[in-house]
Amino acid sequence: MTLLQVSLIAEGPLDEQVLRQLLAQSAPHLNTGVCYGKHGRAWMDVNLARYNQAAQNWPYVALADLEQDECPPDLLRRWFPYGRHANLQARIAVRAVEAWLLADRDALADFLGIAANHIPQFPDQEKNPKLVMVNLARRSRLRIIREDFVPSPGSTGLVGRNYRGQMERFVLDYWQCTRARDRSPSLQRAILALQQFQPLMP
Amino acid sequence: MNISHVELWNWKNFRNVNVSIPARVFLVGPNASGKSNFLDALRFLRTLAIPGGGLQSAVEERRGLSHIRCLAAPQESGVGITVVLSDGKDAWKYALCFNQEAQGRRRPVLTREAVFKNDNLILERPDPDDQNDRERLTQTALEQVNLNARFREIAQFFEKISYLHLTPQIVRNSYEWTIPNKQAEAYGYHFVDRLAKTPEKIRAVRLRRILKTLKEVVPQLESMGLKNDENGIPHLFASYTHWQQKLARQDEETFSDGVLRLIGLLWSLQEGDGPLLLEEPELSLHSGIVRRLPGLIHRIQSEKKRQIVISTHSADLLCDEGIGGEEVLLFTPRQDGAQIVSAVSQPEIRSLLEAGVTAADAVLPHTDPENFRPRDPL
Repeated sequence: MTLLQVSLIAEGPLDEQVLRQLLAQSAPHLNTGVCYGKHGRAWMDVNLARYNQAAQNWPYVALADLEQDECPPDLLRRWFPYGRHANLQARIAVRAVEAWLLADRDALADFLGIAANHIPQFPDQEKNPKLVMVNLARRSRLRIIREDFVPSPGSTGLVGRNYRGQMERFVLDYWQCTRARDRSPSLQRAILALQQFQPLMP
Repeated sequence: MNISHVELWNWKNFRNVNVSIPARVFLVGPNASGKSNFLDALRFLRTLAIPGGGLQSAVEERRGLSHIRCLAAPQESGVGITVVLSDGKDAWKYALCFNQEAQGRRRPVLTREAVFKNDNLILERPDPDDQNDRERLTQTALEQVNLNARFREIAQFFEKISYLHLTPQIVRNSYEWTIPNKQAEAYGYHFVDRLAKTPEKIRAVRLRRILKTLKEVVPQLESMGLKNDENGIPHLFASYTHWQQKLARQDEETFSDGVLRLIGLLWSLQEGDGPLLLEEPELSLHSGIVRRLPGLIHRIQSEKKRQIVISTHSADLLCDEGIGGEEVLLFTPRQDGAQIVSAVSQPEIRSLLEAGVTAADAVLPHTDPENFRPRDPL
């Protein structure tokens, strides 16, 4: 079977890792290429329409965080006012990609060194999943997790100094989307869409 | 005259590459993908042609043939470089292949040297004289005035290739360090001397232009120029309006890295009319000024009609909407030697550029080390 080459568009480096892992685990018919973007949501808001236009020649999978936006369909309408090309799959994590990571409860508990019952049951309902992640790490038995995840007292940093490095490690070495999908409806929808994604090349 | 094509065989990272080069070109690629080695191949041509240069010293400067030969190439294989030059009227082609002596002193010896003018072969070596006297093969015809008469334009053009990778510490301490390498000038060795040796009128014009741009970066800058110290050593000085209204003076030893690098860059752009090779001109500069470099480079370039080759990692430099995909060469490391392709030759990149995505957003992601990371799904 020849694999279809798709490129990625991600809001940030963590989204990229999640997207790569998600595709590798759930859509083996797709071969992931380069990842565009990684300049935050504002960049996505401005540029996605251009990638949508280029999608007539190349397939893309995009991933962004919903953040404080109303709901995914409204955001999609804003991104693609004239319609989304079938070769571009745009997935939105509710409210942030951390919710998809929180959804793999046992693996995350193991990684963070905390008890699984501290992790929210329904991560898609959390207003700020990133903050939830940081607060969970505060409870960690492991010093290195606390040091890397939690901002120092008085700092204006939202997360600790190696939050990204640690989260990437979790995604690459622990996270399984097949376990996480049961607790996150937005991840569930993403997996179904990617499994059925059949880009048409000219 | 411009370099319009370069082909390399077994040259450092490259087994074989063949690329067209426009008048302004940006080289992008991951670290260690061959951007600097590509520039080095062009600098090699300069060393062939300069007085005191030639094949032997060009190879020696690079620590011998074994340091030039591509690691992916079979042992004992030779290396080669071919360039096509054009000035709109004539097209020249210069081809050089060399290896080292099989025994004895293991000196570099040419295995082929050829020159074409408008597709007519005007020199081909080894010739019968070379067969009779093998010693001749240690020198190119290019480096010898009595052999290069029919293509001296090429030698003169190669001589004008200049390279800049200014290192502020070297500019500041030129008199304390002795740097034996002939290429040291490119790193800023005796940079201030070079300014001092420029005829005063020309220098004044260039410095005025530099000051104009510098003022936009450092608004408190008032004037700049050259002044000798008590030992007769020239120094660059700049005067700043101080918050106390007094004029404060600084010389190159106290200039910031960014100011020094910008002065070096702006000076080099105005100096000479041969191809200028710039190594990461964005270093130490604020992103606001980096974004203006493509336009600035174009302005000076179009006055001087010179070719500019720029290696860069900077998204700020490449986000300029005036940069066409045909001006970007993408370097990709591979097991069997690095590859170079024009960004527009890649359908994926081309369709993005046509949809209005900038070169920074369309091309730089292809250089991300993330693409080369091995991955196994759990």
